[in-house]
Amino acid sequence: MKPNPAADNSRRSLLLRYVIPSGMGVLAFFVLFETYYLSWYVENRILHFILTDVVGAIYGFYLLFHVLILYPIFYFRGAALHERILGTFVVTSCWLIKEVLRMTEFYSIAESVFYLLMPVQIGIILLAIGFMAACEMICRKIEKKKKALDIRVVTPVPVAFVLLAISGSAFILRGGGLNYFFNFYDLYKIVFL
Amino acid sequence: MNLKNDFFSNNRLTRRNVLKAGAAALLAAGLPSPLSAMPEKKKPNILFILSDDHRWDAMSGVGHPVIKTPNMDRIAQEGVLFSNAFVTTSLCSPSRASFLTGQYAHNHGVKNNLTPWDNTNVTFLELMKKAGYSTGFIGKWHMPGKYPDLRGLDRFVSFTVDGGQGRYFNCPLIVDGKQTPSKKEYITEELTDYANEFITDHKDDPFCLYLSHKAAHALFTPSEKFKHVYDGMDLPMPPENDSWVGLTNGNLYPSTHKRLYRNYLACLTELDHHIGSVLNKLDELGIADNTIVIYAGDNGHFWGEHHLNDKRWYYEESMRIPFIVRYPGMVPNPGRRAEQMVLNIDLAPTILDMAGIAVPKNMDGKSILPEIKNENTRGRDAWLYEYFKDYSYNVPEHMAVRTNRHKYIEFVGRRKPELYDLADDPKEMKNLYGTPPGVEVLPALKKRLEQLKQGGTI
Repeated sequence: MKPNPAADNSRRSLLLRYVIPSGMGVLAFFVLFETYYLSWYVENRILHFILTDVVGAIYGFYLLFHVLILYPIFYFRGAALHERILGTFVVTSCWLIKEVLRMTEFYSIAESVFYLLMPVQIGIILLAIGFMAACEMICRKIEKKKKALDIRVVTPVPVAFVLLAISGSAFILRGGGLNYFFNFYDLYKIVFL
Repeated sequence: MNLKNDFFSNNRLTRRNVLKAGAAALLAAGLPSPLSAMPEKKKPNILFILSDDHRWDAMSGVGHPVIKTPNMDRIAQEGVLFSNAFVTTSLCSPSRASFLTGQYAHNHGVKNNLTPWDNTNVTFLELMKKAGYSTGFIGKWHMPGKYPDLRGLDRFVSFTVDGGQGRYFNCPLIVDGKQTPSKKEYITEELTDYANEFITDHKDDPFCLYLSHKAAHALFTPSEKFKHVYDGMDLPMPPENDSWVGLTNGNLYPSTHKRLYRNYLACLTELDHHIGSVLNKLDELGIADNTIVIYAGDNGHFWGEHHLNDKRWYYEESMRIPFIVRYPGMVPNPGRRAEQMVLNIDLAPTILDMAGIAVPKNMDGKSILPEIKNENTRGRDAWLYEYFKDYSYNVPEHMAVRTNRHKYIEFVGRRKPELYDLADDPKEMKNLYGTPPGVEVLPALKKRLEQLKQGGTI
């Protein structure tokens, strides 16, 4: 993936192309996260279920699919490749940091970080990478069509990442995740016990 | 009481009674009794059936509005159901080791699902074998470490795949140390077949069989035949549950609770069906009257209560189990509910007691045979619950004392203790720690917890 060639004449300031979109992504994550957990304490049953079921669903979908919203924003605001990747990955990072912090209540820092190798976390990371790569090619296609630019839409690196994400997700979902889960524990025992 | 009248009114003139009377007369005369030459009454057979994650209230006989478990109910109707049965650690491996050894996790050493089983541990099966029983262990072993070298088993059928969890379908087995492909597609049926085979082979011996099922552990997978038994039925979910509880806060299950719960109930009904097959086998062989049947679960399960799933925590949903004993001729009023608190560590001493074998001193549990035989037997007043951290689950290490009225929990780490009044607050929603009613009862509970931690009587 090369820096966005279309960005030169539409490149926004660092604040607009990077800080604000990533900040909004993080803010949305925390608002959904907090709303879902606070909804547990809402006494009114109807409101409780609306908040838990609806916000819970949005929270889950956001965690899995936020890249599809954020990446194009970064792209079309002229963010460079590293900005697009870092900016998009910030939400996934929030989730991973939250999980590590949650684990530190019970386990050492090393064990808490090791938890990132769990199939769920790996799946979320793979999904984010795959969506980024797919978005990159889709954005190129849109940009190429819109501005008649001479750029290659499909290139080996994003294709490889899309394939990695698809095969990794399929492996996890089609039973390989369970094997991975047990291997994860075997590795844990070797490293920590 | 008029003994003479009783003798004539209660005793028919049978050959056995004539022999007994004659023997008594001979004994009185100092002569050898012909009864000494008669065979002793055969020791009772013992069949222990253990299920996985079966919560105490998921049975039709205790009032669950949906599930049907006619065979578990039958055991209860013909025996005694302990309404206050618990595990001392609500986690598969430690609990299973406690059932087998009669010891707490801090004594048998299987503290979580990662710490290995120690082959020097003595199981009640080993002691039964020494006492002349034919013994079998069939089913889920699921304890960390290498495949165990269990002493005193005539038959050992288990599995190691998927971290010892086994598979619901086509689970490869290890039969007496030999890798053996599955004969039946569904694991509960397969294990039942092995159990029935063992019972048939040993019908003339006194036997002790430990039948340990995989069902109804996650991923709660019934066979095609039972898959849809609860489709469309309205399931009672706790008010704290929502669609996403099972996917949040470290509770990562690949589906929503309601769907999983439906499958869980179906799995249990299927298990019940196969328990029926074993009960029928005992009837068919004519040995039911001399066979003690005990059914228990290895721990409970949350279905959204306290915003939790799985088990481990000290709440009732997690630590409370079904525990039913059918002991023909020994339960004075079959079908009764016993209120005394009994524990998984009581199983081993109870079985040994039933077989007339001395209970080793290093067993932490106690025989509940007196409670089985007499409903007025006074049970224990308190017991120790313990949970050791189990990577990667978000449950802090804790110890608790559970009395008939209260539960007091202390954590390792930064959490404050908790205290519940189970009579006023059976759902454990109001933590009384630090409140005036809590302050009042706290010193006694703390003292009792310390006593129990030091190995005080339970």
